[in-house]
This record gives sequence, structure tokens and C-alpha cells, in this order.
Amino acid sequence: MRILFLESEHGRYSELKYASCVASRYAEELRKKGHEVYEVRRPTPDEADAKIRELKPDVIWFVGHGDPDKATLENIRLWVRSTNDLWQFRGRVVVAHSCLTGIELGKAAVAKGAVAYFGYKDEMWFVWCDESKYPNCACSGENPYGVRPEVWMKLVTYPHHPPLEFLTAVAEGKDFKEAFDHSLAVTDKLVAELQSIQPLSQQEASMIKVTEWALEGNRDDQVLYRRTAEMGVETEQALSKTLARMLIMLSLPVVGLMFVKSSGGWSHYGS
Amino acid sequence: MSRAFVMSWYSRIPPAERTLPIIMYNGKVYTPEEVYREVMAGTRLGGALQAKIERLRASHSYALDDLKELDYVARKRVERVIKNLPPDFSLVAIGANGNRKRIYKPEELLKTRFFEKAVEREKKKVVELLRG
Repeated sequence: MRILFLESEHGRYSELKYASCVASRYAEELRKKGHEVYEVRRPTPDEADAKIRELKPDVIWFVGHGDPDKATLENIRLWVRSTNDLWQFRGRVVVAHSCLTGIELGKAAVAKGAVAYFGYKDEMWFVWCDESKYPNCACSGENPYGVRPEVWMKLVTYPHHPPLEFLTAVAEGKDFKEAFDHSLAVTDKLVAELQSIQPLSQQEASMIKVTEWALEGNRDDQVLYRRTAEMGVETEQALSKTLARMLIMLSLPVVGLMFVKSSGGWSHYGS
Repeated sequence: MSRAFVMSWYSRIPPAERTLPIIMYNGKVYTPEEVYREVMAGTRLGGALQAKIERLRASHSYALDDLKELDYVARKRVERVIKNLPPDFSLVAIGANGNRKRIYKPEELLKTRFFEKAVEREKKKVVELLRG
């Protein structure tokens, strides 16, 4: 499989580097498994488009600030918006490491020919250090808070794993629903791992807890649109599953939380 | 619920959770550590807290007042966690809108959807811990 990683680093600061450095590790693993993997660092929109034309990837992963209808790349430069023809995504699997694009852009991408689009319906959260003071937080255990390096690595990298796990699962031949469920399961595993850490201080405990919330919140907002054989668009979401668990736990009436499938139209979990 | 049961319940609570509020009684929130201390000391408050935990553990459904208290306890938990963060600790949300704030310091998190979502998670957590 031919996979293109568009690894932005700078938004307003170097906040995008946090996802890109994790992506780069996944890229290396995928290469070892025999996939044709390309990484473009700090792409401008023109560079991204040129690489897509040249390489014709099967899968595109990108990180950038997002809105419901648009996504940006390096330095928050606008790349794609839902009103464009979105040729970049046509015939491809898209993994958007970006806030909010799961609301509109993902749907538009699949309606305009993308095979599948993984994104987020809300803000996607992660831990960050002030780069001007602490330039090595993203890809190392270095941190200004006295947190053990091995713990810090988990805090800064874990929120970025789920979309990359989805991508890896697709590359391994899983179908989209399986890959999506795999990314949810990985999130649960990462949360459990964080919960198993014995914190050395209340401060460390709080940082771990906040990272758990980020992971769980991101999990509930991840969404997948995919093209169906009938040329409709299907959606997978995690939020309804979590809500259902919560409601069942509190024994409140649960009405309409069921899997609905309809040919050629929208298909989704949840009410 | 015997004193031994409280000891067993307390021992199953992860250490990091023992100092976060878990129950509300007479308008005040109590942590597992405080509940444990009061019950072991055999105080009237300990007895009342124990009885309340016992009732909530056994309940298959919560009354409206219980749910309101659950919400309050969850908010206090999230506030406490955020208060314990280093002041220069930050979370980022990668939204593109130029007007939208993207980097949040601890005190700013209290006004975000992140906070409200964390409250929902902690409600679930409290129920798990009470029934654990």
C-alpha cells in the first residue's frame, strides 16, 4: 500500500510536531512491513498537492488545524475545504489528525469520491509544552515538570496513537469498521495503561488524569465516513457507545440506541 | 456494610483516586481517604457516609437528588485535578479558526467543553468506584 504522511510541525507554535513525530514512528514501522511510505515534512498546500499528484497514494495522513469545513497544513495555511472538488482525496483513504473536520469536510470528501475519511467531530486534545521554553517535549521524555521521562512520553504521545492505529489496521488489510473499532480498543488500552501508573505526586496524578480525559474525549469524537457499494456514505462513531454505557450504568431509559443500516444513505450508531 | 467491607472497598480504589471527592453528604464532598478515616475512627459522620455508600452501591437507579449530587461531586473532582496541574501545563486543541483559542492553561480549561466532557467521564468513574 502506498501511504503519504503530510507532517506539519508549526501552527502558531510547534504544536503540530507532537502528532508528526508520532506519525513518523508509525511510518517507519509501516515501511518495515513492506509498505511504500512517503513523508513530507512541513508541507505547504502546493507541496502537498504536488506530492499527491506525483505519488498517487492509497492513503493520506495529515495533521493540521481544522474547522468543520476546512483543513490547514504548515503555518495554518488553508489546504482543503468542503466546497472545493477535493480531488486530493478522490479514490483514497484519508486520516485527518485535525479538529472538527469530521463534521462536514469528511462527509463532503466521501461524497466527492474519497474511499473513507477518519476525522474528529469536535476539538482533538493533547498535551503540550511551551516550545519557546521547552523545545524537546514532543518527541522525548524531557519535560519541565519533573515527570519521569517514561511517563511523560506516554502523556505526550498517547493522544496521537488512535488515528495512526486506524491507518495501520487499514494497511494490514482490516476493513474500515474493524480498523475503526481497533482504534477505539487501542484507546481503551492506552487509558488503562495510564490508570495503571502509580503517580509520584498529586501533580503527576493530575497530568495523567487530564491525558486520560483527552484520550477518552477524542475517542468519543472520532468519526469515520466511508463509501458504500451503493454509493452512499456510511458513518461510524464512538460517542453513542459510551453514552449508552453511561446510561445503562445509571439505569436510565435508553431508547433508540441501536445500529441502523440503510442502503445508499447514512448509516450510523446512535440515536 | 461492615468496617472490614469498607477496608476492602477502600483497598480496591486506585491510590490516585483516593484523594478525589467521591461522595456528598450534608452539602460537603468527601474523598475515599476521608470516608475511610471516619469509618475507621467510628465517628457518627463515618457511619452516615458508610450508610450512604451502602445505599448508592445497592441502587440500580439513582433519584434526581442523587444525580444532582453526582454531578456536583464530579465537578469538584475535575476542578481539583485541574487545580493540581502545574501552572504552565497546557493542553492544545487543533482548531483552525483564527479567533478560536488553541492552547489552554489549567485555569482556562475550566471554561471549556473539555471541562464539561471531563465532568461526564467522572460521573461514570464515581459510580464505578462506589460500586467497585
